Amino acid sequence: MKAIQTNLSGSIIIGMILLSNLNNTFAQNHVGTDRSYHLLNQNTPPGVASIWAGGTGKTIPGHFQQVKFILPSDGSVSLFHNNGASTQSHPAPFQVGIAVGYVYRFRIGQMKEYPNVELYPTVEFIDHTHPPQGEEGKFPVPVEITKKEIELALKGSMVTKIVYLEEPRTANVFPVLDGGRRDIKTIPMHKNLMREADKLGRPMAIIRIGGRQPDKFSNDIAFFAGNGPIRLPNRKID
Amino acid sequence: MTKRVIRVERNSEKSDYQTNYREKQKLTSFNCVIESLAAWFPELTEYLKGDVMKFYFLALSTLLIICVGCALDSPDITKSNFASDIVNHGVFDKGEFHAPPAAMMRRPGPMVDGPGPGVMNVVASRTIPSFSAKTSQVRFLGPAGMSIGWMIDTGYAENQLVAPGRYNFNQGATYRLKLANIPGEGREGVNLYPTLQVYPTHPRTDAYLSHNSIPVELTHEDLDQVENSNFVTKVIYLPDAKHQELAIADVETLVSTRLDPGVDAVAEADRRGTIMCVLRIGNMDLEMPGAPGNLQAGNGSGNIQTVSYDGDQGQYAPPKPISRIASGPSGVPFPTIVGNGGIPGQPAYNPISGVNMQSWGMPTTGTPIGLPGPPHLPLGGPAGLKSHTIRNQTRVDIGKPVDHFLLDVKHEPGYRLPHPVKHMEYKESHPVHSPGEVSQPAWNLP
Repeated sequence: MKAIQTNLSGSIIIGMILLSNLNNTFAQNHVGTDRSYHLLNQNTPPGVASIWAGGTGKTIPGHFQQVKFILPSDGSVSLFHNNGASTQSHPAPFQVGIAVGYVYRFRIGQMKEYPNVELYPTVEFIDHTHPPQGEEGKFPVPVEITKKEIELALKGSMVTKIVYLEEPRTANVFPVLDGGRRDIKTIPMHKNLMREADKLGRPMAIIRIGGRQPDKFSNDIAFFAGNGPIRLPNRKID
Repeated sequence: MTKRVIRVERNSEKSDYQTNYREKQKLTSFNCVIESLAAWFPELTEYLKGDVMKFYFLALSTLLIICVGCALDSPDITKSNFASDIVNHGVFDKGEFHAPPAAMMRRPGPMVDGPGPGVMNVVASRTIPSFSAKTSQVRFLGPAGMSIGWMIDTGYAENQLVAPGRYNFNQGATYRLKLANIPGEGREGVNLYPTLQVYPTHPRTDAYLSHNSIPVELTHEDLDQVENSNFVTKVIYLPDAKHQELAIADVETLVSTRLDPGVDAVAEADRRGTIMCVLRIGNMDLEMPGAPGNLQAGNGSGNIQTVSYDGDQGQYAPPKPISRIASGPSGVPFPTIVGNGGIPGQPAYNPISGVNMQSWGMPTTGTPIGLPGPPHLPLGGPAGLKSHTIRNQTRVDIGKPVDHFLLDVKHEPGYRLPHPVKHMEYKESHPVHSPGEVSQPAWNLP
């Protein structure tokens, strides 16, 4: 009987502890399982993440990172720089070197699927890759705009994407699609996009896509705000 | 002395009586439990009748209450500070970290200014994001064909847009619009003069506003409500992320006529998210000829001449705000206590203590909340306010400054090389010869 008493009371206590831990686990899932507070999220104003990345020494502000703009099919890409005063249209896919730590507004248009549509997404680089010296052009970071994202932007929604470099030890083997496209993972809005990207690897770039158009009545300098430099490619794009 | 002894005895008797009564009550309730358990566990019942098990149940009940209390996460009980501390920190520390929002981290906090929270160097604080949206692009979705004009300095600029159309309004201001050519039966010749209040950029809405337009649409239901002399308030806001299940950020619109009576649409939208603009519509005619108080009427002397712009004739003019919302450096509006509608063309008068009126403690202002106090007699006398205390009761646990820092580094696998030579033994052996055994080279022989 002594054994029964010990086992009974012991099992009740263990059961209660498990019950309380279960509830705590549910509560912790809401704030994140790693129990850390992430300062950045998908609603962080453009430019803040890159400034903080440079300020904390995570990256080198002004470092040129090769970027490859990819559209669903044919189309043109125009990258605004010099506060919107300079732009030149290039056929997609378009590869260019842009500086880390700046926000760039670019225009996509002349798309076969959307003939009269022009959108003005932005891209902000908060980190850079480390390709072999002299071969930076062979390893551009893909900035891809998909059909689904274009349609959502045309409906008035906003899409925020984060391009990250996978952590090799935890990376899933995603098949590389045609044209160098990668699989895109979608997460619910109430989750922190930056935190999720941090879990999977090293966030490199933030891409924001919406339906806002430049003002026809005035020079909307703030719309094209990016004053970052660009480095046009001197080699043929693959 | 005797009385005191008697009193003690009475108290002890009373105490014994109460103790016995309580013990009987506990035993009675405990026996009920035991008897109910006896049907299923007859062998266990014999043991449970022992006094020891009473303490076991007492301990288990206490543990159950503690576990349930720790796991509580209901927002309703966070209204009190004590309950909030219990919910946030729990009886057992969960080890979670909390920090202010990102926008607040850029500044150390109230009453403290200077560089950031210790992780930002001078380079970081030197650069200011220049991408913040200064204008909000409002997209008038419909009804299709409706003309949109707005108030300017000298009257109304009419037909500046045709729905669907969009325009960039400066933020932090309220504009008077003029809606004309509203399609629909019975709406010929009807002009509406709603106000459009464009809110300043908030850190939560900055990314959205710099990439998206704010959809504003007048539905037939809204127009019917206005025709029936109802006041319609439409609030367009960006819901908080925690209230969104979808992966895409979409704005939502609250309409006052669809809410329960007594519910303020602006307050409700502010609770659910961050407001981007508010459209208020009534059926007041602001261009009624001859009526005082409107621009067409003038002042009776005929000195005011209104100059109108018509977009159909290629004449465009930017809208003139009828009031502005004061905003701080980060775009967050100052706390406004009282606001007037203002005069068309003039900013609204929003008295804020220390900003556009006397600071608190000054003789003409008796309260620190921005409301002017009673006049002091004689003028220039001492202030009525004798004490103004603000207590920051935020629970802060940020640790003490590090005085001795230890960094352990390790390389795996470690280095392993042949150890350096620290001892050498050198030995020579020479032949030993007795006298006479000395051999000499041949050339030295005698």
